[in-house]
Amino acid sequence: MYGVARISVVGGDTEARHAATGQDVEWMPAMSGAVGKADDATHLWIVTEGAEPRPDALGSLVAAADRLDASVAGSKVLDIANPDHLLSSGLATDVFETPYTGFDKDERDQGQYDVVRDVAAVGGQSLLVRKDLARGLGGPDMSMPPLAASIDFCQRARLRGARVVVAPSSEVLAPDAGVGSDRWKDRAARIRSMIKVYGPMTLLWALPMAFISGFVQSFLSLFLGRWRFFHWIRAWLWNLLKLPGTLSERRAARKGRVVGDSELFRYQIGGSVALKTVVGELSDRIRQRLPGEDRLSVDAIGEEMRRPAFIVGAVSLLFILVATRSIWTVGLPAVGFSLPFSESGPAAISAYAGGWNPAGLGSIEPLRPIIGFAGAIQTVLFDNRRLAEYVLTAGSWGLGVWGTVRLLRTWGVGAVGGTLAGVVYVAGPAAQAVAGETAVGMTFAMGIIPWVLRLAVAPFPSSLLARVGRFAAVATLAAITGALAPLALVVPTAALLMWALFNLTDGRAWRAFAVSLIGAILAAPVLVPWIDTADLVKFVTDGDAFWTVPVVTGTVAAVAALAVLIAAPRRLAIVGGWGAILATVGAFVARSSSFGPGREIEAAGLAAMSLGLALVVGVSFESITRSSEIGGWRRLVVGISVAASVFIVATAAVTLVGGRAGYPGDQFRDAFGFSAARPGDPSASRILVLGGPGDLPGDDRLIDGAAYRLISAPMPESWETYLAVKRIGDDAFAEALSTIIAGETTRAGELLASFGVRWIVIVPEDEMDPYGRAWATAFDGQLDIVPLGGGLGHSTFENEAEHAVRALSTAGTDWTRTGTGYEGTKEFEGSLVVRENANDRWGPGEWSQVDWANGVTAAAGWTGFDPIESRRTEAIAAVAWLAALGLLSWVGRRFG
Amino acid sequence: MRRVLAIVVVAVVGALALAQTGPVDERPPDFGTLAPDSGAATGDPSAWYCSWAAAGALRDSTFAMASMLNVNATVTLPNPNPAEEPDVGEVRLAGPGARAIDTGEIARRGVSPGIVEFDDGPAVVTSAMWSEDMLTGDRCVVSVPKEWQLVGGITAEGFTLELQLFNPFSEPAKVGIEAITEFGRSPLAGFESLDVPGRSWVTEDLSRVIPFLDSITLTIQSESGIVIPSFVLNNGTDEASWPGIGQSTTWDFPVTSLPGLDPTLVISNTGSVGATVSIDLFTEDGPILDADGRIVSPIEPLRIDLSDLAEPPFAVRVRSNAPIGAVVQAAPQGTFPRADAASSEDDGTAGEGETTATTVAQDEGSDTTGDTTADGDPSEPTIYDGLAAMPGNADALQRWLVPGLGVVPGADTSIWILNPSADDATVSVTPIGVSARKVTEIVVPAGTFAEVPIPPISETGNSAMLVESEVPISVAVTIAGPQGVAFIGGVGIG
Repeated sequence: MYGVARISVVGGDTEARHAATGQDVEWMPAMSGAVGKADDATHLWIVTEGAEPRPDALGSLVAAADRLDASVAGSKVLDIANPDHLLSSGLATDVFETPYTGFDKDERDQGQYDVVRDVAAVGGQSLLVRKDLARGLGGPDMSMPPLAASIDFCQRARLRGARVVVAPSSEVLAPDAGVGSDRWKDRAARIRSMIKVYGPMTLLWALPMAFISGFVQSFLSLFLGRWRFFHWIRAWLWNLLKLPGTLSERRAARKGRVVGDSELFRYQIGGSVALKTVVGELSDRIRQRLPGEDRLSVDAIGEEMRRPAFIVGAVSLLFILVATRSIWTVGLPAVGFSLPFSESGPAAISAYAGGWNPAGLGSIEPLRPIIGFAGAIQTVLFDNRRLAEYVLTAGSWGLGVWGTVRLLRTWGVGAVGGTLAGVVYVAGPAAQAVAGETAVGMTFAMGIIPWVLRLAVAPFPSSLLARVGRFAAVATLAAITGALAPLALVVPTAALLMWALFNLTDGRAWRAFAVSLIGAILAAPVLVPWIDTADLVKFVTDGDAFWTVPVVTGTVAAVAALAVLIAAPRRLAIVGGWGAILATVGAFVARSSSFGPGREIEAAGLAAMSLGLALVVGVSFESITRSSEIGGWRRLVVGISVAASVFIVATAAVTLVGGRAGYPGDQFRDAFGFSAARPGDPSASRILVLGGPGDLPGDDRLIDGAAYRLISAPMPESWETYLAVKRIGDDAFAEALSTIIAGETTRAGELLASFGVRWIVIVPEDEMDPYGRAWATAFDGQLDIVPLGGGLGHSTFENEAEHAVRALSTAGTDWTRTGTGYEGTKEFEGSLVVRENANDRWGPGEWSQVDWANGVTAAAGWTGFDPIESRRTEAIAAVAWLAALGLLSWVGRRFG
Repeated sequence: MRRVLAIVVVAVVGALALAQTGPVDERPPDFGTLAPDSGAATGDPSAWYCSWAAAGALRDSTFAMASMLNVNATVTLPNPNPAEEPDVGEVRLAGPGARAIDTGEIARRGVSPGIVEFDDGPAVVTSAMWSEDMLTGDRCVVSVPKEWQLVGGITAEGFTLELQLFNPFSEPAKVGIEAITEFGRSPLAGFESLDVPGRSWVTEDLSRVIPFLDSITLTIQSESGIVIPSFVLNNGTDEASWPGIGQSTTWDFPVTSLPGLDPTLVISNTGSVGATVSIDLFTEDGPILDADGRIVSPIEPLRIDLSDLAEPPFAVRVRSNAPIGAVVQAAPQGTFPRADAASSEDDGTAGEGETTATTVAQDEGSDTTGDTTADGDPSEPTIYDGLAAMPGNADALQRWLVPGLGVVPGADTSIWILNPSADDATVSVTPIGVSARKVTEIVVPAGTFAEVPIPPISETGNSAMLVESEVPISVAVTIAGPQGVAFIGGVGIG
């Protein structure tokens, strides 16, 4: 029993001082010094500024604390502006330390909670604490807002075995600051508090959950008209900066604890309070907006179509979640040019920045910028590649829909039309074609393109700084699109050029084009080192740009465009006309293989086409709401365009079927996944994939009309998608395959083992496929190639020859692949053959060329490619340039 | 105005877009169909599959190898127990060189089909197997088609016919087997889909499955994997074995009989229409072209007693207007059932074709028939009692590599050379082995054949010969002794 002998009052205003005087106790204006002051006070009564305790507030607190032997006791808090309004009477929290009162909105105080009880925390407005406990805990955390600091203090106190109670008979009047604030300081304080009090096992799951929960909360807040992403990011960055101090406080908080996390959980509620609050608000809004039976009329529907942004927004969000669900559960499908991200985000960044290109037998040819960009996103997302794949896919869809809404708003298109247009933009027929081509980068980049356009066509700011900021903002977004898909950089500029040509005498249109062009030029440096060294001609001509027009959808789209052009109100018709031209030119570009363009240009054409279709659909839906501007036959024609647009929107539903964001079904995961179940370390070897041109994952090489390529086992990763120019090892491999095809060896396994090939997979499943049959015949009659049964869908063989590995020491030890390098047992006198294309940057130590491969020492236990410094410097400069553009953009917007 | 402009632009660009043509279809792969393989040796590494060999208490066998270059040869005898590793023998041949490896030196466990791999070429392999009362031999095969024909099976009384299916590869094979006999298509119950485990073999006794038939041709088609088939025929006095073959429009038989044995030709047509076949005989006096002519029905193998056409010995060329399979068999008169149905196309009789009389010139040390010795001394020919069979050579070539000479103890070995061309052939026969390189030259006049007796290996140290000519010739080997008789088809160098 620790009785209340003497109290010091800390903080508060006049009322607190009067209360102290009335009770004949000492008053101290601030916390600083109060905790550590050596006097005979046994308790501290902490009162925040602006709080007005009732005269008996302190007495009630003392009585309750004495009776229950509580170390922390709090008052009931009432709204100072409306004393009947209950603000808090003790608090529960969720595991993320978000407070929860359990009150309805504007709940009145009728004594319904007037029970002295143990609680997770009490509000910080009036808090009686044992002084020795406060001293032991170092007092409240002054870096936190008051409420968060109070919760943090209560949690730390509970860890020491202290009771935390609320004494409702002690009443305090205080301003209503809201308990569930989601401003960044409150979010940051909660994260800090979690880190301080929870055990390692709890933190292991609670912190990632807090991160995701915060993201989802921020995303959902968009539909309530709140922009919370920066709060979310800032909160985590703040904690990152404060991490050393937080860890120090964690040690102090957990030192001498007498209970575990389970004791904290006793006073917590399940789930996320913040998420529940946002979802609750959204539900309320939706309920309010739904028309009642009495209003189910054309007028009511028309009215709703003009004002239901959140409904359509919520539905489109649901649409995105359902249409991308497979990416969440499985990741990007392994099919065509879509392969899972690299296992290690930092390794992908390193490989992009002057490192080794691991495709095929390897190369120094630079990887595409998307590898570095995706690697960076993955690294930020806890190096979780599936999460990165999902965030980029679903995020790009969300941004695409939202950006289309914002873009169309420029010309007065409402939220409904804009959102439906956004759905067509990200999931309509042209977007499905982009995904169908497995142009992953372009799919991601499409999320940003409307924003580049929006910024370019938005009213030009008046101040110089704001204008500079505008250019920088366009450049920043253009740079991101370029990093994801280099040709996406061109799409907004080309689109705005068409807009300007279509509005030849409109200076604003030409200015928008100029802004976009300058932005694109400023963005280009972000593509170094890739753009410096890549074979750009090969880049734009690889594959065939030929998109097969779906007849029905194409006809319906043409009808929609024509109807819009004929009957839409003038201003909208111009936008619709631009969209129609954009879609048609995009279709032309996507079918222009006879002029030489390849698949990258096809994807860019399809992206432009998708944008054009979205503009037509948006204008179409908007036109029908302009009953005052159109009448007679024009209304009928617009009705036809709406019907056609509904059909186009409905085609987007196809993406819901597989939940893969329109990508084709996973083809290779099972085809190659078997290797993970084979004895030994699969990552030490390669898989030879055979089939017809276009059948294989990513790029392929041709031999005698059939296709082949090497991939890493057990599953190729995105950085292997595009094969580099043939090098010495690739030539040697082609020669080996020629020997096998010509039937000049019956020991194909031995030949292939020297290239690290342990498995052979013939991709075409159809027995009548001429390529599959040809390859199967080529491997018939081989003495050291064993077919694998076990219900595998493809013809699969295992190489029986010894040492079919990518890196082999002189002692015969297989080394394991890590990133783009290898690790294995140290052999101090031994050497290692690294079966990658010969390059003298492989190390460590002395390098020698072993046939077409690399010879290095095995003494270090690792081997890797020494990055090309100039490229690494360029990559760093590119990141710095992007950051500078981003900063300039922010400065221009904030201060311009 | 802008509306109209937009409509025009959209229409024009749209039409242009629709007018674009797609990329041309990819050409099919340039490989994947097995080229007809003559079974010749090439200058590449190669693997030869010998499906009928055994080494046990009663039988011995040998893998006879010859190479033109320095090569490493590996003989692998798969173990019938899949859990056990195969037995392997390795040998280096200094080229040109030859070696004969006794199967028992590698493993003596009964039936032991084997794989012989050379790391360079040209190199060839034949096998021979003997006991006290039998002698047989095959040329091993290097090509591995998915479809084989086995021609000349007999299950008449007194014969035992076995089908040996050797799968030298790791992939389990599944084969479908169809039979045509003198009664047309004969169902083979249980053979529609036969499994042959990887690196193993299956032996089926056809005498029990389709007994009392005079002419059996099997078509063996792989559904998956590959097998090397061969027939093993036993008549109680000797054993003959011969490998599966493909199809060809020409088959050459440099030898058809030995003294005491009557030759029989079996022709099979697995196509869909009848094949018109002509049989040319090449006697020591010259060719008898179109000595016989038949139409071979697609569902009925034809057995022709060649001794009805001319007095042996002679060589034979079979020509056809459609791909056929052909095998020659030799045994004492009355061993094989006579084909009563056989009649000449135009009621022809032996020798009705155009006959060109040509003298057979011979070099010193060589002989052309069995009635003279190598030294040219007249002697009574040895009368043999045995059973032999051999598929023909599909191509006449200028170079032949002939291993396995003189390796069977107590047996006589001869090389038989057919010159089916219209020009005389000067043939050089070069020993390959450890003894001095004495090249023997003989002239084989156009349309004739020659026999070159080979001394035992114990006398010369040579177990192979290189036979070369400036005109295409065809070569075969006979091994004959008190144990029995074996015909072995030659292997040309492609």
